[in-house]
Amino acid sequence: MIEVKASCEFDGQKFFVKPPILNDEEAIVEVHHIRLKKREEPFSIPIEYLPLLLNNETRQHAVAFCEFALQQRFTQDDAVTDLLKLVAKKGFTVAEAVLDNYIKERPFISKVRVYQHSEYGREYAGSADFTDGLQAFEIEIPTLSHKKYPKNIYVKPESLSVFLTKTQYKKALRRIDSFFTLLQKLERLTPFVTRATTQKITDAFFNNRTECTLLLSKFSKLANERAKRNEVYDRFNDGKALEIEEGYLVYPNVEPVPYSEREPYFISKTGEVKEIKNGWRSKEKLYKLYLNGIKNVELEDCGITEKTRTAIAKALKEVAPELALILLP
Amino acid sequence: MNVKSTVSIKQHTSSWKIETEDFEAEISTIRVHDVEVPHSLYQQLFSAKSAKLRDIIRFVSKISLSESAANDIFRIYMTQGKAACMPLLLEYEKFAPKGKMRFYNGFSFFSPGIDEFTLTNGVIGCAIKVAGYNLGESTEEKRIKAELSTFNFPKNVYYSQGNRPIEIPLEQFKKLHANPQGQVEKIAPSLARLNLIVDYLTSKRVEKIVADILNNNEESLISAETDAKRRLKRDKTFRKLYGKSIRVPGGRLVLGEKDTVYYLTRNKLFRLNYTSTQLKEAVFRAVSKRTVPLKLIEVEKAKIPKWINL
Repeated sequence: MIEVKASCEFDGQKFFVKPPILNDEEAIVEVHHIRLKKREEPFSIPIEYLPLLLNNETRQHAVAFCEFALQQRFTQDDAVTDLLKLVAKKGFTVAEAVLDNYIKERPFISKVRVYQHSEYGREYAGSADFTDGLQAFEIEIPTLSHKKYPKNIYVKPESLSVFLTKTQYKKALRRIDSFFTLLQKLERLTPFVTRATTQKITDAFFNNRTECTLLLSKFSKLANERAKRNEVYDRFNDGKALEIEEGYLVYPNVEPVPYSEREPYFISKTGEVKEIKNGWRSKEKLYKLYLNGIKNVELEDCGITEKTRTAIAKALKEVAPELALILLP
Repeated sequence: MNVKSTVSIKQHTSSWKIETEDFEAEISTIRVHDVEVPHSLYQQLFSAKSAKLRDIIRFVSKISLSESAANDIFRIYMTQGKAACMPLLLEYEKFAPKGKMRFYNGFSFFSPGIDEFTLTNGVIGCAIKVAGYNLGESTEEKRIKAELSTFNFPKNVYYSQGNRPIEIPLEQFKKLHANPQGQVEKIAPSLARLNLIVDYLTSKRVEKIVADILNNNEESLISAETDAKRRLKRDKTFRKLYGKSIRVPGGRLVLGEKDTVYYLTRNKLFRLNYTSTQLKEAVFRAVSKRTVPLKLIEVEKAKIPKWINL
């Protein structure tokens, strides 16, 4: 490994290096991915900050400020990047005041607060983040003015695609805790219901609480059912065996099973292997097959190679070890 | 603010870094005498045996070779040594522009075509393609080929830029070539400017601008530059839609399949009823002037793409 010491001049973008080994011929070096040596995280220091790290008079202060800003664990690296750029532009005093303000505005755990939604270190007008310090949700409020609240650099928000009108927003602020509870419930529903449904529940929260409760209960049941359905689908696609009343379902979509035999199979409790011809392709169909058994499904006797037989046996190993032994070639 | 300091240049397993006690930064490029040194030669550059390499670098710098030609020289240097590079460098030096505007064959170092030319002084330049010559099979093409083969320009190893070339008819090229040296020096900077915006112009407009430039008239070029600047902005705005939605008054603009743009409001979805350039223009106006596009067609509920999840 080579190491060359050299005097250099940094112009804000490039290093002009004159290593003695080049007989004082100048090499212009451009760099990227600048990081503090002592810190592990992959945070990249902006190039504007480098002069402060190179200057003997400012370097200690610059390292300390950068470390302190990183210790705050803001969710957005851009917040720290912007602070370091601010130091480079306006000096430590101004940037330290901004950092103090960031620390002062940090949310308290369990106390719900509203922040301006921000991305890449910039505030977004028309969106607010509701947070209890642990979770945050981005809500779209088209009438919300720019920079009304401090920007959220503390908790990464989930986007719920919920719009609030001006009146709804005022009501939400008055009942901020219960509104936040609603958002937490909506977050659990989001992967399973449409955007229109989440909006309908939100509107009901402001207009008719009974309807809101009923809707939440109805869609929670639906969401639970769909979550189970997804879990079954994922397990099946991961090659795990599903136990049903009449036997087991296995989808050996793994190496070294030949592609022509990567089909779903039904294995009876006596070890008979049959290919499932239909009724499994969508999540819903597979889930019905899992719940109702193979009554309405077309099965076909099939000849499978030893490789497929071994893969099926492996999948059955945990749920039906004895059956797995029978199936092993 | 320039800062003077002392640093270490250090080789790591897969990278080179500049380091001080406090920080380290990965080296992205090293240039010596304004020539970019390939990463694979860093080790040699910072070793005691760097003299030969520095000789090559100085030579490459002196004749200001284009990046691809310089890389080829470094490739020969790495595999066959300095002696194998010298004859090639001496030949390149012989035909180097040395600050004067000269014609060369080809747009870049790689496989120049018979109808491809570069006019450059090594610092600025423009790529010129003679229109009408494709495979050289028809009678007309054979005529063009015969005329083109009379231009015996050296190979272009001095200047290359990525833009589309300026496509002009053979007659116009001949007129340009016939200009006395002093005249070419005057015209070439304008042609170089035209080359930078050529992607935004139709071939007819390019032809007209070249004719104007040949007559020392820059008005059409200036007007084209203004148009290109706006189109560049417009394209940049439209490209923002790839990968994310853009907020506009009352909702968001979202890109669908086949460059369809939707305007998504609280509970409705509209399609922007424009095509190609008009569509880009509508998006640009909506974003830059904060206006809602005028031609909107509401998308029926049944036809709303599933991924929009309204």
